Amino acid sequence: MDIVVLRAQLAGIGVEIAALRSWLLLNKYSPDQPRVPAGQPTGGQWTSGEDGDGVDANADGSGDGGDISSDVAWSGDTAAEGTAATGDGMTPTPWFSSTSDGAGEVRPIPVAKIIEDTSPKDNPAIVATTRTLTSILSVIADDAGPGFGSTYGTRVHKLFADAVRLNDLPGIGRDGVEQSFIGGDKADYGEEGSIRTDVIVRGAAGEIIAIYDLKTGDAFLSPRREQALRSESGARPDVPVIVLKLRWR
Amino acid sequence: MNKKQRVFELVSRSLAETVNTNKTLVVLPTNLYLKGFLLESTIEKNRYFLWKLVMPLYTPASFISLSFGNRLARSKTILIEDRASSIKLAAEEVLQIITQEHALAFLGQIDTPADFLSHVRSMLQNGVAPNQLHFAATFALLGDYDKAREVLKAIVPTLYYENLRTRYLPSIEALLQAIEQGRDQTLALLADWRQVNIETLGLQEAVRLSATP
Repeated sequence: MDIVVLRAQLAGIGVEIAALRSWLLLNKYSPDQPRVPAGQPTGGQWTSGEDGDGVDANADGSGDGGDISSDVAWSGDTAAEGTAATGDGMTPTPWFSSTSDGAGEVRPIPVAKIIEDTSPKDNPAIVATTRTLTSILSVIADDAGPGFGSTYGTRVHKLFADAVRLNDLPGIGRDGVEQSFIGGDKADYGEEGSIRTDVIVRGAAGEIIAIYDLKTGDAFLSPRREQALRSESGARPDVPVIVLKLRWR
Repeated sequence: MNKKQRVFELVSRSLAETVNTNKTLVVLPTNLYLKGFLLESTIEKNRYFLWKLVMPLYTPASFISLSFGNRLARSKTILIEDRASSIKLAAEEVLQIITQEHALAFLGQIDTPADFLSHVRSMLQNGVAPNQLHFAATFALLGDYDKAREVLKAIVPTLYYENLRTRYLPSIEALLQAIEQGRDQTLALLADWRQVNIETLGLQEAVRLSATP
């Protein structure tokens, strides 16, 4: 593909994300606010939320043990949402619910759940950052659409990283995204022994005060990986590693 | 040459004060500090961050540290595909970024320990072990042994993990011991570490060119 076309496309993406940033700032976006599912003519738009799915945090049987900070309720079709909400932790949950557009065509309705694990509530800066990152992830979920597997995970990570960088958030900036470390030293990605963080937040003296790890699908953060994130980044043992999890169900 | 080296090779032809080494486009002279640019992979295929970096060479290193560097172009990524036209475009983009951000002039200002301390003054309170080890060695190089000793001793309680103790404790102890033995031993240790780093990081050519009158 011609480089000019590629650049134009990239510029377009940049503009879209910049517009999204402005929108987030102006509208004080709440991840709890329901939206019309992606793939529909009004996909991504806000709804009254009256048809929200109300999925129980612990009804998915995932065993995450995490707190649900936000359910992005992909509203629009009550019957379909009801289908998604019937999970009791025992019934396998399909990737997509289905609905009819009135013409007999069955289309998938994605339901995204964003779960924060281990998010400390005693540090206002971390709480605010977690909320902001969760909001960004909510929008990214819509942009990426439904999916699973490593390719999808990479796509979500890329969109998320781009959006967080563009927001230039306090304590994160642009360099706090996709940063690799070895023994507390910043290192080139792929350097032997290096570990890459998704997002790090720094305090006033430049010390790491929180590490965020984005997971999609059924991926989870093992205790070993959590420890490695701290030890290789040089963060103190009490620095929280916060999981932002995006799952379609 | 890999594609990143090919990009830097093209850039170096336009910048007389640089030399293309194994991983970095080095800004000469290379004396106590490695100064230059590095292309870092991203999670997106064929896209790279461009880093501007400064790294002391007188403390033990097994890789190029980016701790005293930053991503250029507001972390915008550069597309580099494995074909000549893409390499050329990427080189033009790298050259443009380096020029626009006055990165060469900035790096050219850093040559002495005092220059380095000025560059990193906002990070002096950053308690991460590798940074503090660099600072301690810099103080030692400047002859401020009390400060160097104080910084070194303060690092030890921050080595919370086995990997940090394994990596840094031997260097901390060696430098403390050299300081106790005197100026000559201290300078000899720092010179030894520099020489090993030059070989480990493949900087021989940059050092040779820097020594040329």
